[in-house]
Amino acid sequence: MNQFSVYRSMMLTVAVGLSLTATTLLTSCSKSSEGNNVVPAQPASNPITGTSLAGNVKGALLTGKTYTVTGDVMVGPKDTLFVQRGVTVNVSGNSTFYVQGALISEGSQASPITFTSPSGKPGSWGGFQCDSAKYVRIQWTHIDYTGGPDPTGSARVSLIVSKPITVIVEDSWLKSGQDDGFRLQGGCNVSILRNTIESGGSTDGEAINIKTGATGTVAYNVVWSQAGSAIKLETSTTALFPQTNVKVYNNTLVSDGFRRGAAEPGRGILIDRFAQGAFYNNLIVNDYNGLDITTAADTKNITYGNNYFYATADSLRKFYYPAGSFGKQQTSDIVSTATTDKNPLFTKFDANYNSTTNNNDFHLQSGSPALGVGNTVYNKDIGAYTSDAQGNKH
Amino acid sequence: MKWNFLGTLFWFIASYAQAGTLTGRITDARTRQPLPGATVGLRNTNFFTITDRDGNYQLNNLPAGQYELQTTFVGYAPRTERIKLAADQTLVRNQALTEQAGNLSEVNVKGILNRETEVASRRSERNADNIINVVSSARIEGSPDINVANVLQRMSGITLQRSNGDGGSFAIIRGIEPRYNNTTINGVKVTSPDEKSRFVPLDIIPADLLQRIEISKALMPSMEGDAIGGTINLVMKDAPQGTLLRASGSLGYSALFIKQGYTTFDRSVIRPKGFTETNGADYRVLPGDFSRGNLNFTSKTAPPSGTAGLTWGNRFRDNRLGILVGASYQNQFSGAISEFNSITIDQFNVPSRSDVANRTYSTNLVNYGLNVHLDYQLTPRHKLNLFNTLLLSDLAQARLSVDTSLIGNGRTRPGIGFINPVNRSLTNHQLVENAKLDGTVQLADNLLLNYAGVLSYATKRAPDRAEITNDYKIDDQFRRTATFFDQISHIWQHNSDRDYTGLLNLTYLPKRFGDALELRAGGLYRTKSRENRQDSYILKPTLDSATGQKQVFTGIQTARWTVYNPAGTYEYDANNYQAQEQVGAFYAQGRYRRQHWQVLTGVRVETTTQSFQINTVTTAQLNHATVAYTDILPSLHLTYRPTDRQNWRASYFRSLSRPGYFELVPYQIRGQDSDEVGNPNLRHAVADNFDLRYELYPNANDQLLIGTFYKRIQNPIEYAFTSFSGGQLVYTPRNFGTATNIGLEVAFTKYLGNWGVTGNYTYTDSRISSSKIFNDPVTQTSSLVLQQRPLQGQTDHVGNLSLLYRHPASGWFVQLAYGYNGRTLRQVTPFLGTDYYQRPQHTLAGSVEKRAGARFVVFAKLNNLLNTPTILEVNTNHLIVQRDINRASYLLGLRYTR
Repeated sequence: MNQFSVYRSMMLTVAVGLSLTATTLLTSCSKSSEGNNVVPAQPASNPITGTSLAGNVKGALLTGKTYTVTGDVMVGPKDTLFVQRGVTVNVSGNSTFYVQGALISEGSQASPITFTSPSGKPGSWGGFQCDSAKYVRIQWTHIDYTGGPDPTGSARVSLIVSKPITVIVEDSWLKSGQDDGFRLQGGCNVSILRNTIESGGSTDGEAINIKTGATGTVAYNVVWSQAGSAIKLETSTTALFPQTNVKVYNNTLVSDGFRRGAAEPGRGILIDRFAQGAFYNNLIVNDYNGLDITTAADTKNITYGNNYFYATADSLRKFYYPAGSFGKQQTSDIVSTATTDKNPLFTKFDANYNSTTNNNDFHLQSGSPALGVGNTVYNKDIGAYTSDAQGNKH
Repeated sequence: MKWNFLGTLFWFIASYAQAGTLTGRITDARTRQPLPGATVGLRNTNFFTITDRDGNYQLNNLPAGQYELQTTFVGYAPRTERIKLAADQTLVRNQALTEQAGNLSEVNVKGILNRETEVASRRSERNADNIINVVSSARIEGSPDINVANVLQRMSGITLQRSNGDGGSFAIIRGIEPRYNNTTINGVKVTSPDEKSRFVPLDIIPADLLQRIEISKALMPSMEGDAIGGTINLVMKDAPQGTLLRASGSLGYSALFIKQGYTTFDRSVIRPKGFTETNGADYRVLPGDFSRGNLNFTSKTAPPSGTAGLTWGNRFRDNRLGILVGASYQNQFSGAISEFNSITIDQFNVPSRSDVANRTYSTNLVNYGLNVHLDYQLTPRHKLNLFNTLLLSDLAQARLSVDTSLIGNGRTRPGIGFINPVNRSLTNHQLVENAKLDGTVQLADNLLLNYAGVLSYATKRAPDRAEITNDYKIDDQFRRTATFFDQISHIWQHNSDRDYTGLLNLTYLPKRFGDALELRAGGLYRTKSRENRQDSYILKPTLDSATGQKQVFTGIQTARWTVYNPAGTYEYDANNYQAQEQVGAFYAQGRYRRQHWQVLTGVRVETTTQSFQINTVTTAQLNHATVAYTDILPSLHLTYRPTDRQNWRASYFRSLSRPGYFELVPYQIRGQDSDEVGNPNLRHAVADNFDLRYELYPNANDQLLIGTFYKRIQNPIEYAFTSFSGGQLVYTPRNFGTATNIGLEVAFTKYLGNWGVTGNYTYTDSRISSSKIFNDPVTQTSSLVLQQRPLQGQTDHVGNLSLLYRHPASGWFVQLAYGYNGRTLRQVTPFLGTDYYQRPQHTLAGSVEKRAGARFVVFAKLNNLLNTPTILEVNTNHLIVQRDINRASYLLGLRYTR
């Protein structure tokens, strides 16, 4: 073999290598980088026909009928579940409503709607998982015994929304859920008016938990015997804007925050982590802690006053505004200094804040010191039951 | 029990009769340095041996007579000498060998050179077709290290990613994360016992099973293409030329446990399987079903650590059959004192601590390793090899933690607030099995066929990882509430990963070119199946009937709970998945040598199919997908050898990195402010890699390597926050444009008389842009913006320097190993500008050996002599995120060689 052919073959090898390299570089550069385009197939939804519910459904639950949920109910992104007044829905076997579309439960004062479990125990079913729903409106509806964890072991609250949509919950009842009542987050705009929440949370859980940039109004609600806080507000720890910003007024919050224990007691109202808002005319009675505006809250953008504090135990009085927090007693506040001082005069009142049955009627007797002392921007009275037509209708 | 076994062994060996003996030392005639690993034998007999680290040899039990003593060592001219040995005589014969000129290719080296020596490592680096670094078992044996992870961290360009928990140790090569590197045993991929990633934990591999470690920093077409940082190839010991018997044992202690206790829990009560697996899917778990003993933590004096190793090898049937069996046992007790702080930012983007956790870890890691190698010359033209490597690892760890929440919950100053004691016990059992049968057939004088079949299997079982959380509060008057029982979790997890691989290679040397041109072609096919199962239970306290409140915690034995999710999570746990991967690859490469030049070039094509299946809670979720892609991976390696002692190398190669199996799975883990989800649309990363290296080998022992590299990674994979389109933030693995990595590497070894110094230095500078959250206080908006930073895991400056002293006459060997790790990006945070960096570290380790008689060596291994802590800080304001203190550890042992 001569010198020439040796060099020729060597150069040939190099040339082949380089051209292969160049070709690949060119072809690879022209590739798109849009990912694998893997998307889930959207299952077809079935119009509701019988009275047994499970799977992907759409349509209406008809007035006066009783339905049984036998498995998870899914409402697709383009679908609506409309519940007419007077409907009763019995949910069995820890089933859940997963709503990606619209949920409308339109009860009336005369014919409310009921979602319940025949077991009659907290944590029996999974509530309304409306994380990515398009619209939620719940009126005159009973939602009882929710909070069953999902099959991955995650807690399920009675109603969760995590998208910037409108959420209306009015004149409804939550009873004996195992975890949070309402968890409203992800920038949704809320209108939580005139609801009654009782015995919520087995050992933990907030009744109205508003997080990550939600805005709106929470007013005229009654929260009794919640394990954690009755109303809690906080902003995301990662994306600080938009801030959680809610007007909280004329709520009656009684005997909340005990079951979670003294180390992490619940509050009547907790304003934490960069949340802002206005807090007026709330009637805070026998809560473990009263109104707690922590130093982590957006304290420059918080206004509060005309809140009414009363306790049937002397030991609770020092927790109206917990020590060490930002919130301090306001001159417009009505603050009881003894069990005999400034009793708000509920129509019927059980002074035992650890009681497990609700033997109360939180309507105010005439002559209650809570009447006529409210901040009139919101209402002239304090608490959920006002003398005008704005208040709680239960 | 192991000590009795070793004692018996030593007694047996010591009582061996001593007859006529021949001893001496083999050295390099020019440098006068000893030549470890040289073969010394008596011609036409079965008596031969290999020289030790100091070049010494000894042949015992020789019958009186006349012999021809022959010494051979690759790269040196063999020497033969006539000797006459009388009965009971001890004869000393030293020989000095002269280095042979000429280029020795890998093929020529095969079967003659003892690859366990450093001389062989230098020679491999020098003769390799690509850019590699090699460390030999002789070097490892003399080092302070007992597992592969620790050996690697002293190698050029390598740092470790470690965790205090059950996370294992992984290699970062040239500042490139473990995800971009691969690990092979005897050239074949190892499956991972990790439930999510592809990585192999290197701290479970005992170093004494190895013959050498090769780090390839440039890939040839014949190599698997999924390494961007590099390939770590663990070459297990193979059958020796003659009889080999080595045994060693050691005892050790961690200085951490001199000052504090070692926390244990009852392992015997742990249920090996979860309830769904033992009782069926319909079983509803009752409160009484859960054990309490594994949450009952007690402190005791830490037992000593211990290791034992045995290697035996021999040849049979006229040397046609070679056998090697290596067994290793390591029982290590270690611990850490750790401070772990959660960081948050305020609206002015100033980081501050939101939680402080003080943790102590008590860890017992037991590694078992078994390496079996058989080689058999089936016919003169057909050789078979059987490799089997089995690694077992048992971990038990107690973690006691006190978490203090600093934000919210009424905290106004240090020392008060809401406090969570969180105590966890975990055990896991890992298994890695690699079996390879390969054959080499000489089809013709210039045509070689190589075939192999490989089974690789890995599992991890982590039964009943149990954690209890309690809480108490210290108010602003420093009054402490009672401790309340808050929650217990029990998690059963196990996973498996199995590969079947077939390989075929053809090597052809066209006659027209002599041996100047070598053409190779071949391929592999691998099919993988993997499964992970998890079954989790949450226990919540029952209310105290007297107070109607959460119960006060009076001890684990008296705690009362209800089962929050009695059905468990076996079917739908977010961590449950099945995944498959098929890789088909073929390549063609040519190597041409002419005088001072060598060029190796070719192309590899790898076709990948990745798929997964999960159970989803709703039908709207994706429950399976398959993605397929093909990569064409060209490479070009040029070597210029102006003299025998120098190389100039330049190389280009393209390589890829596949997404983790679990990363593609659209799992969802809901968090407080954000959800973590998998990404089935994640693409694989592809990199173009360029290397230049100058190598100087003044003699068999010494070297100087200076190299530089540049890498361009397309579609690098990073976890980041995404989606501001409304709603919750989503944390997910994503591809981020193009990353670059440029760097410089220097490594050297120099011996002078009894002293040696070896060291390396690596500089890396990598860049990537990924999305971060910026909270703008002026416009009051939060948005995602791109931030440029180094790749996660990058260390700017890394250096190692070892000083060695050996005194062959007295048998002393001393090594002091210093390591420097510069600033390392350990964790990328969600927030613009704030990432967690590890502060620079100086570490010192040492080892001492002393020959005791002809057969025994006493050794000591000393680690972390400077008690170097690991400290992570926020880069913008040096706020400490994490501080781990491990303290020094010591090991004292005895080694026997025959």
